[in-house]
Amino acid sequence: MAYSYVTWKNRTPLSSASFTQMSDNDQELSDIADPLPQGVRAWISNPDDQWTQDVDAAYDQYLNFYLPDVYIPASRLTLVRQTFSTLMCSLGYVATKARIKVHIDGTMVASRETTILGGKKSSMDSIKVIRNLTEGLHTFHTEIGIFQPNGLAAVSFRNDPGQPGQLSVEDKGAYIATG
Amino acid sequence: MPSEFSYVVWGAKTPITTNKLFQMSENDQYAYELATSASQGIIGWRESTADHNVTASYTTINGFTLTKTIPSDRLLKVHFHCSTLQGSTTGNCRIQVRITVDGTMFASREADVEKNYKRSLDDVEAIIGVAGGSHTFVAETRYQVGGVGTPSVRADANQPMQFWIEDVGAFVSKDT
Repeated sequence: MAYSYVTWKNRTPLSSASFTQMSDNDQELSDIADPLPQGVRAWISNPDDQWTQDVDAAYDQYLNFYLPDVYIPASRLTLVRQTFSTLMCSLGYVATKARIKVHIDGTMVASRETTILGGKKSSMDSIKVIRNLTEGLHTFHTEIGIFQPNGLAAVSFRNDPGQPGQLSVEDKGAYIATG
Repeated sequence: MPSEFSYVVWGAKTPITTNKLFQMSENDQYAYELATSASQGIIGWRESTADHNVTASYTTINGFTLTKTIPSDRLLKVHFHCSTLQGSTTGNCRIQVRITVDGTMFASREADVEKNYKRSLDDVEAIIGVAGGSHTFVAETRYQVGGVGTPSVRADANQPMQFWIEDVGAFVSKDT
């Protein structure tokens, strides 16, 4: 089956062949459209001010980056993405490592970590992961923490209304195997 | 492309006319061209859950080679994402990650990583238009200075590194 424009010139007779081709065209259009990316399925943008995480504290879960019960159809590729504006290590401390984790249904699926010097700001690119999820409802959330400090430390994960952090779930098209 | 979509009304006793059938064909053509020119999404990807040790010469990162047949007149976005760079145990180093198409580099990032430090590497990504046909995309890495002590690009089962090609729509020229 392939798409083929059906011509209806003056006095073109009505025929089974022409109508069949028009139905075939509709089927072809459906087949082409179904695997296309469907865009963002869910997102949350958080303009709240910074969270400060102290060393030895448990990872701070959920924050306000929490997307429960997002329906994902079968056989799709899903891109999960978390952004933060800036990380800052408290002045007076030497350095520490900071990590942001992204979870799907309670299991970590992506993270980024970086070393931050005391009194310095550091950007961290967004955390991303592509997944082929089973059909059904899924919960996405983010957590933050710091570890292995050189001296006592606290890290601010900064957001504000002009530079919000965002967690998004985006459909990237029909599933294809790796390779 | 046909000028626009126009719904064709078929009420009771509506006569079948050439104009109505013509418009239905035009509508199909309009939808067909919209669908085929739209972004097609991810057309190839790879994933690794193992660290990749960085050496002085470029090496392919954990099998991150993608050979794909690309239709003509499409735009692609090629993307490499990793969790973290791990610095050397013996001194500071500079790590570079690049993406090539058919052996030519078109995207790269570099980061200085202090001894024993971890650094987040911004994603390496770029939009590229290529001629229709088969093309090979590769993600590679090397250290440029001070790499003794096995710096690495890190990954594990809970924080994989990924490499993907996304069709982002019909080709448009760069806006100059």
